[in-house]
Amino acid sequence: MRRNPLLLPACCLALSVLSCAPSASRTVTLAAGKDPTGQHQALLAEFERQNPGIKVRVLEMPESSSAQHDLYVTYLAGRDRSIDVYSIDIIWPAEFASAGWLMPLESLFTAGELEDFLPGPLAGCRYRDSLYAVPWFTDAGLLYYRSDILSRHGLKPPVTWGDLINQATALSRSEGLAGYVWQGQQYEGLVCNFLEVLWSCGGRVFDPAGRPAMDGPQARQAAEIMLEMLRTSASPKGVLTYKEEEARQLFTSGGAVFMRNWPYAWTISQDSGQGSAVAGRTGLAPLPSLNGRSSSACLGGWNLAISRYTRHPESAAKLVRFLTSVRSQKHFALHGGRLPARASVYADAEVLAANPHFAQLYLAFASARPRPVRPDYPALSDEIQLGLHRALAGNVTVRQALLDLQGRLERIAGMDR
Amino acid sequence: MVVGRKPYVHGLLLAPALMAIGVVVFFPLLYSLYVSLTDFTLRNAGANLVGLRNYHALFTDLRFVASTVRTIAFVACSVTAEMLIGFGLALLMHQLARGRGLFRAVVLVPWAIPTVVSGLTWRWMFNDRLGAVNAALKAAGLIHQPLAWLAGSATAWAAIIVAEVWKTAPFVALIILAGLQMVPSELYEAATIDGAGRWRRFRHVTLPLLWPTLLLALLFRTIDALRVFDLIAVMTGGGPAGGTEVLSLYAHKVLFAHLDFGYGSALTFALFLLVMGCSVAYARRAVR
Repeated sequence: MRRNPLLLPACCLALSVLSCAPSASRTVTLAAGKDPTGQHQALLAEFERQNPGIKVRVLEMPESSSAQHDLYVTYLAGRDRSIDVYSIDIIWPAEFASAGWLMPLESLFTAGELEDFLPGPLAGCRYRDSLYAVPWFTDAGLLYYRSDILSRHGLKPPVTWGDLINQATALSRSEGLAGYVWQGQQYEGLVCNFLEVLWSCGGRVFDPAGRPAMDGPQARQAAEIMLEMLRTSASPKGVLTYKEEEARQLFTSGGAVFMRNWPYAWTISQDSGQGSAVAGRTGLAPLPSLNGRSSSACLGGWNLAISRYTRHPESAAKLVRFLTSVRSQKHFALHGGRLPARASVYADAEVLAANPHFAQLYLAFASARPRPVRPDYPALSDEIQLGLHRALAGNVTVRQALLDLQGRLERIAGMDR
Repeated sequence: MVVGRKPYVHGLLLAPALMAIGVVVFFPLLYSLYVSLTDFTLRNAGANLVGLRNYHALFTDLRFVASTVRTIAFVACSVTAEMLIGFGLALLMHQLARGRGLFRAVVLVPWAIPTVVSGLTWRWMFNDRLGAVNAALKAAGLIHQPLAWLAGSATAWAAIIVAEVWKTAPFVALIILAGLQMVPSELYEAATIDGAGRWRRFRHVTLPLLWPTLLLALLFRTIDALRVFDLIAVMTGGGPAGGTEVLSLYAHKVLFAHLDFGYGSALTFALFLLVMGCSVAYARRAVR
């Protein structure tokens, strides 16, 4: 084959012209975890239609939240310019904002527009009176129960921790199942489970003066309640090794009466195709509380933030506004079962028809609270996980474990100042 | 000497390799040493040199001391078991007249599975209610109540060591098998003629000739076990109550949860010194 001597240069020229063309339009890169809904593509295509000149590239992150955190820290500490919008866990805005990695987004919305977002997620996205992320979808702890077993015994879903412990102990004996399963392994999930009990006892991690409050009576009471679950065998000792999936599999295989879990477990529990043995026999309720107090679920959920190092702040802002809009959140609720972070979507007739359980969820979500919004949260969490597991796995007394924890939290909080 | 006239040619030819090693080995090492001498956290961008403060802090840090002790105990237990089982497997494979290739391939399967995957599998196998281990023990009548393996320190360690040995014994077996195959068969014949029995042949022919191979396997496994991270991170995350937190796990928490890069680097450098110390000790023994 004879080669045309001009072919190569011609190709190069054509290529360079072609690659020039898209550079007239901007490419915004969104870093987000794996998309289980399969709806990212559809929505982003619509965004690109509405905004000619902006292309969106999605950079898929690892599924594990802590792996994602480590990766983000590496990108942002290295002032990476290739990512414009980050989808971040509700516990990271303060940490990232205090490091100066995120753009303040206060001006993106009017005060009236912000009112539609659920108060908990919004509080989690604020740091020192400015907004650094916008709630995209949310998550909160819920109580799952076997409605068939409860009604057979003439029981109502428990409202207090005492009720839950009594019912779980009695039913686990009479039914030969595990009673109440939750997330008790030494990891982030344990902090959520603990905070839910702590808040329902009227306690907090930090008192209003900003001092750690792990030596207070409420923290003591909360830890005692959790220990009581293990002592009475309301919860099997194995919960100390459970994360979400261990609890979920045991519950949906019909092996437990009660479970604390995030909303994702609902969809699976109702799907016999995914091997659920409890479809149609599961109920949802807000988590219990201490007598007469209100219960508070721990918030999870993901939020969109704009990198300080972005080259395209306007386009990135457009993308964030679009993805967090009522329209997008409704789309995710209808097609992916994702939980909206906007109150108005929960009132939408179409959404409620597709997801009747959203009405129940909204009750829990409206009072859900974020974990301590502080830049040093991951360090606090590490210590709380360790301190609480020492109390629960039983090598030290609750009193001693909490005193040690208090000392460690004081040191971290002091270091940060 | 041909190149003697231009001595710089040596250096010139070596330069690319030296540069590559410098960039990928020495730079990170020296940089982490430098960081360990500062108070660098991700939030205070400007790092100040603080001398040996981070290293001083190590000695009063109970979490560091405990995780170091745990790391060394883990290495001692798991490497001993791996060497014994691996040696046994290797002798078995060496005796095989037929099917050695197939056996070797089968034995290698655990080694080929990524640790995170096998760790997750073991985590589920040791699950108290849904796990295969308790199901088997129950079927055998050994337990009546489900045992929460990973909820107690001692049983969690047992589970971790089983998972580690399951994965790495085949690797040891393969190295030792290679060593066994290098022992000339004439030596065995000569020993047999001299009246040596099975045990004496093993003791006086196999073992001395296998010594360098055993040391090599021991070195590889010790270094690897000292750095254990993924298996424990997946199976227990350091729990219960911090009971399985090893040095690398603690360093990771300090680096990425506490974002304390100065102290975290001191921790990783301590681990490096531990690994380096072992390597040097082995190397000197091997030379002798």
